[in-house]
Amino acid sequence: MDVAVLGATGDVGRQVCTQLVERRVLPTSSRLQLVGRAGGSSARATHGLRADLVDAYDEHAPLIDVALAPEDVVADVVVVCAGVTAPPRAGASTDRTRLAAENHAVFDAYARALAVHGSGNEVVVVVSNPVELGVAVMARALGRHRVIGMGAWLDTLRFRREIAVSLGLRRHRIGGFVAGQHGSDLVPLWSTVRVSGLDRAERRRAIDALRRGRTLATFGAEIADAQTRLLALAAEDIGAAFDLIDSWPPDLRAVARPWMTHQSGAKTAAGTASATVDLVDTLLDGREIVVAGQVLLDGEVGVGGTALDGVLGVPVVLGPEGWTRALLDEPAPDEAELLVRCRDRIDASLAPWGLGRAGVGA
Amino acid sequence: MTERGTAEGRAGGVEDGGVGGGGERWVVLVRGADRPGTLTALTSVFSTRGVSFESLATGAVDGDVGAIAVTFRATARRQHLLVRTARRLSVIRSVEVRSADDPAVRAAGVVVMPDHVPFTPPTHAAVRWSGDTSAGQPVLVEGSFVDVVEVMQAARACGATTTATVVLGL
Repeated sequence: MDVAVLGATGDVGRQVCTQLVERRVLPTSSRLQLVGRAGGSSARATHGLRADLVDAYDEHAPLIDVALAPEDVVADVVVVCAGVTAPPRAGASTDRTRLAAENHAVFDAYARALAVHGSGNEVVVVVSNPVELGVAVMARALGRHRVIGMGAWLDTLRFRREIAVSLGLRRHRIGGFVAGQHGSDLVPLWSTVRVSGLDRAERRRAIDALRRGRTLATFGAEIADAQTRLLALAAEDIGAAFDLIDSWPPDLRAVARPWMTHQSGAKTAAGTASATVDLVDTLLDGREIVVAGQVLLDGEVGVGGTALDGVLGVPVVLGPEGWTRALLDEPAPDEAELLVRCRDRIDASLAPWGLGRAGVGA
Repeated sequence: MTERGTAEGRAGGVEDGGVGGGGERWVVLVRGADRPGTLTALTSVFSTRGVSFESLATGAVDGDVGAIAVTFRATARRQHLLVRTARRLSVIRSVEVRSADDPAVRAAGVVVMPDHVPFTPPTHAAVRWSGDTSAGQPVLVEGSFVDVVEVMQAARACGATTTATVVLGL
């Protein structure tokens, strides 16, 4: 199976390509397509990236191909890393409207091309932000089950890691999912957390200790306060800002740490790419696993008697042909409330492009 | 690359085209770099998608580019995907695909009959041919791919010991 990385020469795209090759996700008989944009700087850099990857990994690299037009994208799995990103510096204003507008055009161009020229079976993994917008655009053009946004999976891995650190365990012993919107509006599903080796009572005590008596009712305010404190501290001592994060509960750390990383200028390319390659590896390996991802729902799951539709991050079964089922048991009341509010906020953000719940087809 | 044909109807020949499960028959004419790995890269495009060849032959080398002719069965949609994918390979210079029924696709064939068993191509097959099987000579046939294939099928029905078809091009 072949993989195309749209925006291959960007920070995340380059990491995705490198990790796909280095981790030997693609056999030597498969093709990795590096996709850039004709007329832009990536038109030149894409060829250079190909040469660099071959230089580094020739002994086990897949076939590597360069494409500079959306209609030339040919692959079984398409990873969307194209588009602009928010500026990675402390205090930089993120004009989300402008970001969305610029990237909507990018998403739309590739979605249309895949709809016209594609095989009809490509699975699309959206990495670029706003990931929910990317999922909505792609799902409308290609069919919703073929499209998944990896934001919720990245958030889930971060959440699991923070819990693991707090408990003195390794991440692979932690289960649980993050839902909602990628970034600061995520919904940590504490009700789904499992800890290998703990029975129900032990798990309850451990989670209660981690949550410190908090509920998600105040989570949004906590995040806003955390960002204010971190910006002030980072202006003097960025190391101290990261240390402050370590003192917080796991769910808050899962949001604050990547936010602070981006503010530091380092970006989160490696972690984002690693989570993305996890998903791609699953798709290529023919396995079906349960992951969290932004998908276009059509009421197949609900919370508190409210059917969830529209784009939302939820746990799903992911296999070689895309996602098949959403797996969301009734969450705790504070999680359900936050999920519904998150769904509504996402819907409002998609409305300008007619991609809100009323405008997006199945 | 050396010129080899693949005999039709040999034991173990493709029955159902693999995952393609039938579908239309296609002829793909490929020009690829004359170097190790070109055939591997091209055939992997098909084999990793469960599509089996009915025939594959390499043709003459012109400079550093060689010719490869492939026939297979697939739906039009899968053919389109396979051809698009093959075109993305850096070792492939060009890919042309035609329906096997297209009279522009030319082929040649060889028929060897048992000693002194007569055979002549069916009269409705629009082919040029030569050879007298009664005198122990092979029959050489040239024409459209679909007509040459029909001659080979007729020859096997008459007990031919060997038949072979080579796609010549457009």
